[in-house]
Amino acid sequence: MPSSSPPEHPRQQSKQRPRPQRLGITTASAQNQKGGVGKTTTAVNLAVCLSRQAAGRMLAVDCDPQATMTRQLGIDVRTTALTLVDVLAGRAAAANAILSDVVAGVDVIAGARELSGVEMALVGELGREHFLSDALEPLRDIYATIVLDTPPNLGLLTVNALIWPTSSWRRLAARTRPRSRGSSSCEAPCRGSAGSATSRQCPHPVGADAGAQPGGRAGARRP
Amino acid sequence: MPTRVLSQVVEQALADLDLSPVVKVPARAAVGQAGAEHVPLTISAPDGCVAMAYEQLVTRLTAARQAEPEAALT
Repeated sequence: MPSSSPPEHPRQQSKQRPRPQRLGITTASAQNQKGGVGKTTTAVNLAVCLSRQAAGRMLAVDCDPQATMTRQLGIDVRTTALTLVDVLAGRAAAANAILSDVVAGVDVIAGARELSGVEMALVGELGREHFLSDALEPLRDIYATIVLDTPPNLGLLTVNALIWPTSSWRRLAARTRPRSRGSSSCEAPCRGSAGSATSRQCPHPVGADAGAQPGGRAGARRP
Repeated sequence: MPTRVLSQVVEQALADLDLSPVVKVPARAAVGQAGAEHVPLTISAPDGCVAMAYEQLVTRLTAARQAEPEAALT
């Protein structure tokens, strides 16, 4: 008599589903657990330089609740109608939150201090590490490069910035890592850390096998 | 020679991994000044050593990406 296996938990099912391949876009993020080390400065200047050298349009996304990148680019957060908060909360599409050609051909999605509240609300969400990449997914065909500035911690906003499945820089750096250190499982979630200005990547397999589908939790996007 | 403790820690960690920084961005007062003035240094002083360092970083990253076989990206 065949034994009937218990139904799988929804989270286990989502892990088994492969996420769609994301090609043709490069993301760079400036990350460090310490503040005042030059993350924002690196992200801003990297965005400007990339807009000059790289082909295609350039987008800078401020994931830091301190919104330093937004201010450094001369944007007044108080007068900004839509920010990354609205995008992550599902109140606005990413395309509607873009401030076009803020400086030197760089488009910007502004940050705001309410991002800290969004980060706390994400804690209980399924697939919480994919909210940012899913929100920016519609911009894939518009931008060739996205630069992300992150807060000085390893919270969910930083983890969201780390999750970007097919960053060529991340893969390149993963290959340059010495074989004696780390494991191949690190390759999936880790991405180039431009802020460190090195060719090495984050060794932590954060959310390596989280596979929630983008369309599977539309109703849950209400942090 | 880095003077900040974190810089020393990072450089030591990289050395332990047999890695080296792609580029070193000099920590000049102009960097902080540019932030206060809300104008990136790569725009206000594109010929300065800081801007040149970032340009070099982007050049290296872009070259590395282009050199990578497209098949490896999939």
